[in-house]
Amino acid sequence: MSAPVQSRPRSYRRPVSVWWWLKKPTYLLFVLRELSSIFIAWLVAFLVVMVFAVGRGADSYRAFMDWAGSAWVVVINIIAFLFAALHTVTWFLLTPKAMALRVRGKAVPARMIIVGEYVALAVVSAFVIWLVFL
Amino acid sequence: MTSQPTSRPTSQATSQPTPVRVPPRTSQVDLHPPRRRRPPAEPFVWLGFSAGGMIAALLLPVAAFLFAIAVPLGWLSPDFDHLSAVITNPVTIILMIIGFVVLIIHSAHRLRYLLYDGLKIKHKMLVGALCYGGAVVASIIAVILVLMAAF
Repeated sequence: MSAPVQSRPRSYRRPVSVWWWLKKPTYLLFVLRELSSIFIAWLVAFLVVMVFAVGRGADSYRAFMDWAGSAWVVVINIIAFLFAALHTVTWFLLTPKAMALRVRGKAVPARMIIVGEYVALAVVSAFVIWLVFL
Repeated sequence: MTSQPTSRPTSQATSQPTPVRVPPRTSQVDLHPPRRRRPPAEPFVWLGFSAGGMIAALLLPVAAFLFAIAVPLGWLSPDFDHLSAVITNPVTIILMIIGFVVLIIHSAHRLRYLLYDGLKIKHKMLVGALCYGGAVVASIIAVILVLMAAF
């Protein structure tokens, strides 16, 4: 689509299709993982408005939750939750590669880091549920 | 070769404008090329990206499930006074502000590469300016709304 750069000489690069990410499952997974950013932004907006509604009192909180219970918002939120879960899984798989953890000079195996992250996920989730409901 | 171990590094160091560590003997290949100058914002963006990614990974699934699915559908109904007390607690407010801001930075950073590599919008500066500029605006709005909830 875009005109090839001709102003400076460089080696020829075969133009890549905009749909390159449909060619392999791993490419698709990569783009889906990056796509999670849009749904994370949506969830941030949703939570910020919810916090604001809570601050304004019980009535506005109830009005917000009524709106959040309408069909299209629930559908978006379920998709957003699935993308958040995809982000969590892929992020935990990536951290051992981005962060080399060493204990007493020995590299901690990647499996241990990932297990530790899932333990942290369980603890954080339980803490949030405890904070909200107990 | 072994007769002049000290004279060679000093002569090389004077010929170069910046004091770069001179590799011994292998003078043809520069093993330590001077680092490319990066925009100073990049480490902070990367820090925000990774911190936001960790917070998103640990907190968003439970937060999304509770407040975006379970409560709106009526599966769970937290006591409002308790929820309000937890959310408007100063500690929660501060943590929420930090959390929301780094989540926005994380999201903007990924969106930038989604637009640049995924959709192949090859205007690097424009995409970067829109994503990070949008992140700044969104962060300011988020901080104001969260603070308004507290006061």
